[in-house]
Order: sequence, then structure tokens, then C-alpha cells
Amino acid sequence: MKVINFGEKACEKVRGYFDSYLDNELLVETNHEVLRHLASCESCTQALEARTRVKQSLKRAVEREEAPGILLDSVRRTIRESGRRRFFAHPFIAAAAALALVVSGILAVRTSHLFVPGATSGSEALQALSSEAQQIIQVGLIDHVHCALQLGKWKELISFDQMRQDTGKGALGPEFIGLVPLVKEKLGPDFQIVQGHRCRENHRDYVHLILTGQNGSILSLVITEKKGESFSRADLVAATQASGIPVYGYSQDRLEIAGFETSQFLAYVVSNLDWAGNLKVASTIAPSVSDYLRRLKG
Amino acid sequence: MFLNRRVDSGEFEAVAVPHLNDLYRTAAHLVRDRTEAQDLVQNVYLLAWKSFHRFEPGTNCRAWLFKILFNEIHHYRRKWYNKKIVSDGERSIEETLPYEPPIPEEIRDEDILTALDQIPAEFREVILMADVHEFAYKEIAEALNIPIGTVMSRLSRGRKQLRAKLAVPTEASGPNDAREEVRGL
Repeated sequence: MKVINFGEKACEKVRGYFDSYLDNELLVETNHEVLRHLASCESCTQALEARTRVKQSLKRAVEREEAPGILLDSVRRTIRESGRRRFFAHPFIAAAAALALVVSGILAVRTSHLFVPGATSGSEALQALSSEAQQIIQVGLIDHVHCALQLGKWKELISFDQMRQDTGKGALGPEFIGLVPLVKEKLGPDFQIVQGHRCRENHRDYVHLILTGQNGSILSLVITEKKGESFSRADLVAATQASGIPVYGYSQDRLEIAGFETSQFLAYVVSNLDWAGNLKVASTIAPSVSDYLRRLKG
Repeated sequence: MFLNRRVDSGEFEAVAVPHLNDLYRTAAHLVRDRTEAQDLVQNVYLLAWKSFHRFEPGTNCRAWLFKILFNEIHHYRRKWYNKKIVSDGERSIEETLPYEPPIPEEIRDEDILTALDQIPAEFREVILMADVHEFAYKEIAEALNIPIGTVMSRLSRGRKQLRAKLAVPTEASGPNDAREEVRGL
């Protein structure tokens, strides 16, 4: 009996070293002590084998999953785009670079396309945007860029039935599910609705429909409740009122943004279509979408 | 010295991007949401790039990226991380079992990943760091900003819970029977 107890204590002590032994973290002397014990203890050898098996299986299972390709692309793009802006880390030079960026930013805004009524091409009627106008444009742009493009949601096709049955926090829900058939009917077979969901970006909730069209076009209809903003108050001039609804247009980073509003909501069509194509989509859906939103909330 | 180290996006990509898979896997198993994990990793790279001029070439870039990842998770993603502080006095049922549960000869990926997801996040993170990414205890302690002793204790407790969740059900009806069985090995 005493022998068994002695053996159990020795096993207990050695098993206490097993974690560090497995991680190659033991001192040389302690490592030898473990090896000496294992040489004469079948039970501990089996226990160690089991632990090794768990460790190796875990590594294998976790490493089987790869990061999505879109993440790698997105990380590379972010680095390269921001890399153009920073060459030096010294405060003086950083400040000079920041000043250059401000200047080039202003130029970029000035050369971006903001259109007045009747304008038909990007060379007409350019004007600088106020900070309020820039902010309201970013509200729509950010969700398309981050959710549809960077997270790759434009590739994740979800059927209308799935969207309708979804009851999760990202579901369109009974309030907004009706937008899907409405947009589909208005845009016809040229566009496919990939998915509709609710998402949150930069402390703001969005209703987001993602569509794809011909020639690799990716388009978002982004709707969000107003937080005091208004296109009409932001020194913006409507690019078209052809549908009876003022639609405001803007170009940034090779994306076209067209916006319209109700008293409670801001709505944006953001895409890689050309200026006229994006504006046409926005004008086509603006009346019905505006009616839908007004019925929902003012 | 007037200029700090000049940084280059090509150099950053060369040393940092090869660790993207490791960071993503860790994020995915800590926040348990693939979309959030992608967002998190994207942000880690942006933060790392912004402070890359302070990174010392030749030092461990992988450990540096993981430190940024954990900092992001612990400070800004707590709702996903769902942190449940495990005090020293609080032991799970698995941890109180006085025997070494029998582990299957073949462990299926889905079983071990399910078991991993079921253990507290504090244990999960040290297990991922040690078992999957094979960081030294000292590196884990630095990345998580905790003492080495805490790393060892969490690793031991986490692995014990993991083994218990993987254990093969035996005919023995309780711990006492199982203990006898192990004694007999």
C-alpha cells in the first residue's frame, strides 16, 4: 500500500510538469526527471501521449481554416493606399506631409464631381464641398466600402426566402423586407439582389441591399435614419430631379454616390457604375423607395 | 538624429502580412464570429502599419502583431470576447475531476474545435498561443500583459477542461470508478 501511495505521489508530481514539458519550457534537470519517470511508468506515458494528441489535434484543426482571400486583398489595399501618404515619421515632415495632404484633399474634392441640374458629364459644374456635405456623402459611402466590398458581402448570395425567414439581428425584418421585391421590380433583370441585411458602421445603423449587375458592377442601396443631416441643407445641388425626387450625386475613389432623402431617412446608391448609370439607378428607385420609407416613418 | 526610421509599405507587407492567417484564426476563435474577426484583423494591420516606424527590425513581428490583436480584443471588442473573469477560487466541474479522462485515439477536428469554443476565453487565448502558434510562455505573458505564472496556470486549467470535454464516455458511473480504472493503468 505504501508503495502505491509513493508511486501515485511521484506520478502526480511528474504530471504537474507535463504542460511545461509539452511546451519545451522545463529546465534541463526537470526535463530529465520527467524522462526518467516516464521510462518506468506506463500510466504517465499514456497520459502524456493523450495530452500530446490533444495538442497536435488542436493545432491541426485550427490551422485547417484559412483567412478569406478578400481579407488579404483588403489588408494589402489598405496598406498600399495609406502607404502613399506616409514616407516620413518625423513630426516636422509628417506635419508638412499632412499639409500637403490637406491641399491635395481640397483639390481632390474640387475635382470630384458634384453636379448641378442639367449637368451631364463630370467636367461640368464642379464645386467645392462644405464639411457638412462631405460628411453626409461619407455616411453612405462607408457602408458600401466596408460591408459590401471589404467584407466581401457582395459575394454572399442569400435568397429572398432566406432573407424573409431570417430573424437574427442582421435581418431586414418585416419593416424593410418589402424593399427587396420593390427594388427588384424597378431595376428589372439587369441587376441581381445578392442580399439585404441590417448592419452597423461607425456608430450608425444601416439597411443595406447589395446588388450586382453586368460587367462586374457592384451596387449598394444604403438607407439610414437621419441624425439631423439633410442633403438639401448641406449646400449640395441636386444632380437630377427627373423622377420628381431630387437626387444628389458625387464621385469619390472611383465610386459613384447618389443620394436622396425623406424627412426621416437618407438613402444612397453607391456603385462602380459610371456617373450616368449610377444616377439612373438612383432616379429609377427613388420615388418608390421614398414612398416606402415615408409609409414606414413620416 | 533628425529622421526616425523611414518606413515602407513593401517592407511592412513583407514582414507583417505572412502572419495574417495566424491572426485571423486566433481572432475567429476568440470572438467566435468570422465577420467580426475579419474586421478585427483588418484593424490590427491598420494599427500596426500606423506604428510601424516604431517597430524594431529583426524583433519578433508576429508577437508584436498578436499584442496589438489582444489589445484590440480586450479593450474594444469585449462584447464579442464575452470575457468572463475566472478567479483562482472558481473551478469548473471538469477541473475538480481527480482523474485523467481517457482521450479518443482519433480526435476529430469538429470535436476539438467545439470543445475549444466551450472553454472560457482567458483559457482559450493562452491555449491558442501555446498549442497552435507555439509561442514561448514569456512571449504569451508579454502579449497578454499578464505574469508568466498566470499563463501557466491558465494553460493548465484550460487544457484540463479541454481534455474533459473530449473524454470518451466510460462505462464507469462516476469519478471514483474512473479513478480506480486509471490507477490500474
